[in-house]
Amino acid sequence: MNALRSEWGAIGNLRFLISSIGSVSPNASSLGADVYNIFCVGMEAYACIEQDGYSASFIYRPPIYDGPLALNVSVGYKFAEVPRITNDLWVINLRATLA
Amino acid sequence: MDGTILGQGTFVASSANLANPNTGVASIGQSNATIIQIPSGADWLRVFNYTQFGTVGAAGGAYFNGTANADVGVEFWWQRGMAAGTGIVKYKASASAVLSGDTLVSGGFTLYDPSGQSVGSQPLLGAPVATTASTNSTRPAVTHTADSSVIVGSVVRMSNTAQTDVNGVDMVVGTVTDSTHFTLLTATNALATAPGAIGGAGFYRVVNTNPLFYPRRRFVTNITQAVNAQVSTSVAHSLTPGQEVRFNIPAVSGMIQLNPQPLNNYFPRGVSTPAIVVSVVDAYNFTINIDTTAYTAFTFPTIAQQPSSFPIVVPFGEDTATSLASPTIQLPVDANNVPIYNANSGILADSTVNTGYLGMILGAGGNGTELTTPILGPSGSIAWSSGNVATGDVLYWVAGKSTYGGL
Repeated sequence: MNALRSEWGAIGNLRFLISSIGSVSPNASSLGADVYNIFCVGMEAYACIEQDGYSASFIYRPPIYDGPLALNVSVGYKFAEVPRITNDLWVINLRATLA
Repeated sequence: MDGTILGQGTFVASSANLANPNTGVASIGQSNATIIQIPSGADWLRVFNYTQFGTVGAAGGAYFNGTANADVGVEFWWQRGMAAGTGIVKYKASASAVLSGDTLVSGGFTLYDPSGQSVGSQPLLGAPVATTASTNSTRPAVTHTADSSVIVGSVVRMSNTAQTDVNGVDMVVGTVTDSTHFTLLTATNALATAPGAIGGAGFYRVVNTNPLFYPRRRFVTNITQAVNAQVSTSVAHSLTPGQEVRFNIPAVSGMIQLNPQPLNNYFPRGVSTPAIVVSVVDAYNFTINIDTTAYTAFTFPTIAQQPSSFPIVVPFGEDTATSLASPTIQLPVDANNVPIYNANSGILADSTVNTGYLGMILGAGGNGTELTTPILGPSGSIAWSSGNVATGDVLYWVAGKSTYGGL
């Protein structure tokens, strides 16, 4: 299996991916340290139903499309898919603090 | 003034969960803090107490935190640069029609952004406050250094105490005795088991905001053994009848039969249905359709059992038949019975929504800088009748974004 760009390592069949926007529960440990929520997701634990083959798109129009003075940009998204957890027991939240 | 955004609105002062501070006698008292929505954000805000502007100041003083020593503010001003919780106030002294002025030390204006991304807004967690003791009780009584920010209904997160089973679990404050004592949890959602030892020294932080997305997972403090088991949560659950839930009960808590059983189609043991909320007892309790009389008794993890996982309840979906048959409306509300922003109702009450918005917290008031006694804040005041019926002030507000200038 090819390594993903964000893949940091693996233990057995559990592969770890890193993210700058991961979930953190501030000061939530017994000693008041930040707790990092590490979602361990099994294969097919969730699924996405894409409507008519469409999924989600993030749309950005630079200011030149706004008018001759290029004053405003437009940002939006279209979301035509339904994500769904297929089995909650296959999604585990591993909670840990920094050593 | 190109680019200036103005907004305006009105609201009635909230008396939810409040009682007449002078039972059986007509009086004026503080209201609950109120959050108004200002989608654009605000650089300045002015609030007028329409009701109090038309009368003299509360004779003998209005009640604030149980003492009749407060004046009632009638006009309030805040603009960016003023410290959080403060503001400029005009008020009328006892039985006086004369306007006086002061600045609020606390209980004024605080920007609200539950995402925690707006500079100067209320922090998601308050600063740590030192505690000196916690009792070994199903409702631990906490002694701490002076801090008036904790009120009944506040949510706190303990840490570093010897009660390692209480640390890190958000809990509602059920009773505030004075500025150095409060009791965790209420009479209806106390822990099933006392921690096992006193807490000693540690810290707590006030948790100012809920997780952004509804519905939320909650820590479970107790589950009864009953035909329709009653589930208690450590903070307001905000669930509605018909919502399906799944439990994650660790072995140390006993009632593991309530967990989804892989060999029973992920239903709890011995039943052919998922756990469904059938009634909401109060903000911290609900009953489910599962008969737990034959299950192992529920216990809350004790200090001696740490480290362990903690019992949690996770919203999972909606049972349409139950929600349609329920005589009560399926409207998700918070601990003060205020509808949760953006949440859906009815059979869609379980749908996941982002509850965040930008706004301003209008405080209930606090001491004036010059006056050094309380002035009721921009959330307004409550007029109590001798029959203990509450009538909230009507307040108007105007907010805006400024085109230029600075702090």
